Amino acid sequence: MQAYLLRRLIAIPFMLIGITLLLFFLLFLRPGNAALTNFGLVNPDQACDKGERGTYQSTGSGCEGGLARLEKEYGLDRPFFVQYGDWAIHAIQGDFGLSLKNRRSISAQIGERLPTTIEIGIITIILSTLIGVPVGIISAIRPGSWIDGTLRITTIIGISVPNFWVGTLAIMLPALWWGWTPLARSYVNFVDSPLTNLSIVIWPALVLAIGSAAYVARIVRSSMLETLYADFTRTARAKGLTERIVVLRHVFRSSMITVLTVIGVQLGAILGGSVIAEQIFAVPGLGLLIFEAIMGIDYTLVLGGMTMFALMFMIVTLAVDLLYTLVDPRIRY
Amino acid sequence: MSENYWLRLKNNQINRRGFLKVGAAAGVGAGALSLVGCGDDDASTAASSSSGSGKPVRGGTLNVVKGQVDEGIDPGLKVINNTDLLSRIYNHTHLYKVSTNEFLLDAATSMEQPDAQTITFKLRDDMKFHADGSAVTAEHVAFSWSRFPDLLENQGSQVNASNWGFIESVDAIDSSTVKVNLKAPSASAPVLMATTPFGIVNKAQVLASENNNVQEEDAGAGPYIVTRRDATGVSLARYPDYYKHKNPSNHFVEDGPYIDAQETRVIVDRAAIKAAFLSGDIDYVPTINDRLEFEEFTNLDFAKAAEVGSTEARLLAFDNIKFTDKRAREAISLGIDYEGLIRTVYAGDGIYDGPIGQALKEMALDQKTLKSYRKYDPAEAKKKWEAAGSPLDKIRIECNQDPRSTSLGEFVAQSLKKSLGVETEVLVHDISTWVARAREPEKQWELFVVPYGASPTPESYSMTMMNPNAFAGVSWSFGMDQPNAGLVADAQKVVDLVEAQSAEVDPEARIEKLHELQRFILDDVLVGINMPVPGHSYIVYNKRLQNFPEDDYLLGSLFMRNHDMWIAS
Repeated sequence: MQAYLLRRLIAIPFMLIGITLLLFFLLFLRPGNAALTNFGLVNPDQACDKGERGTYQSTGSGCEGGLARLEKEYGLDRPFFVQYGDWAIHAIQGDFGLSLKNRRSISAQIGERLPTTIEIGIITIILSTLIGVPVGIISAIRPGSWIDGTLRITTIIGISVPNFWVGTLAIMLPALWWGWTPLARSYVNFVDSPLTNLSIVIWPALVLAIGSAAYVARIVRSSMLETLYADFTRTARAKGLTERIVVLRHVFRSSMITVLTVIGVQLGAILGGSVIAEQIFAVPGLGLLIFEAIMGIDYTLVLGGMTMFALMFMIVTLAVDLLYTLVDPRIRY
Repeated sequence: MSENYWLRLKNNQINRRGFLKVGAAAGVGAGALSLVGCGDDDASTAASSSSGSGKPVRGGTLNVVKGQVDEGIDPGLKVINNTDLLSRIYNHTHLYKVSTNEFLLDAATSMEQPDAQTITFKLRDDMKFHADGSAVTAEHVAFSWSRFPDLLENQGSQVNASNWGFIESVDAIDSSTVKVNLKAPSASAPVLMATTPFGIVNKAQVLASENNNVQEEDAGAGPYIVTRRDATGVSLARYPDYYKHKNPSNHFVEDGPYIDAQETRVIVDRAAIKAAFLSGDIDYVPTINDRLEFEEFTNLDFAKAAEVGSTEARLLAFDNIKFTDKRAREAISLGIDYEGLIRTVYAGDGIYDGPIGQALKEMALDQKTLKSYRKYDPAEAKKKWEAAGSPLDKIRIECNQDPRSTSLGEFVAQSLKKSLGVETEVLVHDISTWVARAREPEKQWELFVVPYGASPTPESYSMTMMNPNAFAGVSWSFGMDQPNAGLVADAQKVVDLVEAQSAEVDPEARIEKLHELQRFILDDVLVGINMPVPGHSYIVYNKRLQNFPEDDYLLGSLFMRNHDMWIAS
């Protein structure tokens, strides 16, 4: 177990290097850079020429303009591997550098935003489990019934409908019908006011949980259907156990590995979905930060945020792998 | 009552035009002429109520929204996504109302122009900075206005030289007198000096900061102070030590703004912004893109939905290096079905536009003239295209993700394919990529769709797009450093005409020169084609807002400095 854990922990930095290198390369391939975005279509070199004429000054030749200076200051004039190496060395020390747009510490910005995204992720997982597992169980123990049919159709809709659409409806329809919207007037941290904070983050979490819960429900149903007719289930029934105990203690527990795997995998979708959900609900999490950074080609910030997302995903996947041993004693690492 | 401009004119027995020729010589534009030489006007104009009803009441919170977090609060450095903040926390010497073409004094008690290249301001003596209550003096103004070149060259300022390039130097003559020396006579200088970047900052605070720029929110002396600024928005509260306006107008109020506080929320999603407005969480919808969207709001009991004059502009820029033959440019111009575009893209509500946008009514060319330049004649277009040697087999049209741009690009692509028989392709990119592709030396497009909004001076408005020394040179290959001698000559002529109008003292003569400049561009089909624009712009706001500056709202950002807007209970 310890050896396995050690191996997994050693692998994480290498996977992060691979992910960040790929991300860095993809961002590097994009046309333009943060310095250019800062100026927009404006000609930043206008300041070069000290011409005597009026409002407009000529673009001088041979002078180092504002764009070149800014690129130099940001280090964007260096080769790809030098830029990446510089970034990676600092990132290992927990310093993701400064945002290319607002010149604030990226680590600090991530530190401010990450708790909100983790909170949304946790609530989403809880909600999707609380909704998905019972639905899956009910559907599995009444196969072919009208309840099963209804729930299966509902879960298919839940999986099929994109969360940005659900999110948009969730904010627009109450506003149209009742002049109220789940958008928060202002964001409050969990530490400052837990209840107010929960009343804000519950909405994006609920939107994300719809798809996730539907997926969990379908997996629970199919997994339990297999187990419901297994030999050990028949034996449990033959022993005279009540159906409730058979289902919850024997069938459901055996299906838990599948459920855990699904929930672990769903975390990736939830983290991805948080970019959209936080944008729609104006919740200042890491997803919204990354979205804003992408729009402004603030690639150091994008890298920092994505690295955190990747790290979170790896840690959760590891945690899920370790949980297998608790659920199924037969599994040994 | 102190001696004002009109009294001095009377006492000195010189007529207005004579004064302008001598005193204001060559300096200021149409609006500036009404201000130059004016001083304290004691409560001469009561607060007007253009859209309001009843007696103004003090108090309340204005709830606004913006799409992104600000990148900074230094008015000389960052001017994107922070207007809600900069216009409220900093002072400006004066304000220019585009809609009425008038100047209103704010931190200045007078503004004079002793000669063509000098403007002097007298400052009020009761202004205090937020941070320490220290006095705002001429030294702070001179410092604030002198640092633009350094901020641009060394800190990547978003405020480009077209906003301040007219300044030679700024001197503090004494604690309350600021002297601005212009490089050349500039008709737009007084207007530009009223814009956001010219906010007055606390010199000591800036110099004490690490990078010599504004880092803290209390570096101004404006009517509001910042009480919260984070990723979710900004909260502003009334500055208790804000001065009493000695010269209240239809904009400034003697005891400061009526509204007590402002809450700005950052909401990225467009639907979320609408939802927030529908639920009364924000007081106005920042931009309404088209009539269909506008009509969604027209039946709401609590909302005022208003149509105002068009404030948009859309340039279809050439990569001029590929269109050196005038006949090729003419072919493009003749090959677009403008009336069809107005019918389909703008649902029939569209007007023609020229090198100076329609928002600056007097300076823009009239519709009849503009229409005469926008004829659709596919046969003639094809003929000219072939006469030019059919220079391109394929025309790529670059757009950003703005739906209005893409629909325009799509229409132009279909129109040109039909009239010229060339293959066309519409390329749609995100804003950052779009910007990068505009600035690439080797363009990967032939036509580039640029949407942009109104600005109070022709130089900072459409002409920025058409000027070889501004966008046109770098982005549309219409600079002076290109190989084609003919285009170089055209570019030089455009620059000369731009500078000539800028230096023109007489408002009527300036308008004449602006018309001449536009006709030159249109006759030779230079730079690109100013495409038709929507006939109206739309505003939607909560009826509880009284004196909402409908006419100024979309014309730049100065409405945010409105002091006489109030909130009805």
